[in-house]
Amino acid sequence: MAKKILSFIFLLSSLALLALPAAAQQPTLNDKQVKQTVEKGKQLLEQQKKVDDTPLFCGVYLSADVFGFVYPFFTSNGFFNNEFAVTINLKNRFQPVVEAGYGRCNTTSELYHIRYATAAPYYRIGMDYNFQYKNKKPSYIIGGARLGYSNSRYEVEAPALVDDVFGTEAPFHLVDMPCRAIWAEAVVGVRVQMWKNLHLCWSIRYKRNISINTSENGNPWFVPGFGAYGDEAVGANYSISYYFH
Amino acid sequence: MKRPITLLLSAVATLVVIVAVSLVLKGCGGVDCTINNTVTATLNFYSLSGVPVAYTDTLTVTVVGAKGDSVVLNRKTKATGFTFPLGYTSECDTFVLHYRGGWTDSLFLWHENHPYFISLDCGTAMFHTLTRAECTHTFLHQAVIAEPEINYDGKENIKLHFFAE
Repeated sequence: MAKKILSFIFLLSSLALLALPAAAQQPTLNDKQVKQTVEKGKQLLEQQKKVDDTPLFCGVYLSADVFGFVYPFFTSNGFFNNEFAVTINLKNRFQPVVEAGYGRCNTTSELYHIRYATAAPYYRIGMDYNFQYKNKKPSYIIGGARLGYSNSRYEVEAPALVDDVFGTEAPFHLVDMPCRAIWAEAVVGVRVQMWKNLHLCWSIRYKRNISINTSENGNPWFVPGFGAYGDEAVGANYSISYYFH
Repeated sequence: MKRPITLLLSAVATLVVIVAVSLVLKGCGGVDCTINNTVTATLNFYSLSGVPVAYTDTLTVTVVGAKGDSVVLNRKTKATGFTFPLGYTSECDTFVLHYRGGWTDSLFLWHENHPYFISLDCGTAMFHTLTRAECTHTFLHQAVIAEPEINYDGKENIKLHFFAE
């Protein structure tokens, strides 16, 4: 009998020892939490994978501004800018852009019969930001900034200045007046896909004069790329783009 | 049937164009020009010690070589100074101060002339830079250039010092 009891105790002890490692492991509730955490991690990894799927180089927009052709019909200023732009689409989000154009003005005021003429190329460099890059749609809203530069010369021809006191006349003809300009621009616009790789882009631009040189004979009236001379100016672009990707 | 995003972008684009055109057109207006394009120099009277004074007796100032009206200041009493135009083509202008009793002083001003383009809307003007100022010494002690640039700023250009305090 005693032998049987000892055998039973030994069996129970063995079972208890075998069960100890299993008791040391996590309970069933923690397993669920681990599973949930693993699932969340997988989802995050998938989302991360989706973002990373966007290549660094997505394509290039080649654009031609047509607002410069339309602008003279709205005003009688007699000046306009025509420009082209190359925009690189990085990550469908950051879009470095280089713009080059040609500004011209040859106008005569009806009031004072003053003729003002200038023509020069201008350049801008900057970047746009696609506010809707997560949507991965070909149409989106952009915002950006530019730094502009132009180096031009202008001519002013006006009727002679009449000195009423001394009865003399001083001819008025300014030739080859230098105008070197640097300005900054803030851009807000919309790029819309029209058909396949053909896009239209509307934008308005607030321009701030950083440095436009003047002379003892006056200020320039029109600055290629900037517009009418002043501390600030507002411009607009309406361009047609082809997207290479 | 266009997608909502396309419709939204089209609406924003139309708004952008409307705002742009209105801003551009607005920016072309609002011309602020001076009423008279004639630029004048400003001269004020000072005592020997440099205190601003008024000439209490009657004073007349004329410009030498004028084709039209040569009077700059006509029988003014208690004058503290006067403004006057300079010649557009001359290098030196002479002004005569006529005091009571037939006494006179002459003021000689040498200057450079700069045809100045204001804008297409406001026209042109002649600006000057004073290079030298001299005077005779009947009642005047000296003429000093305070601000050589003569333009629309309206700054005092010449200080005319009398012997009297």
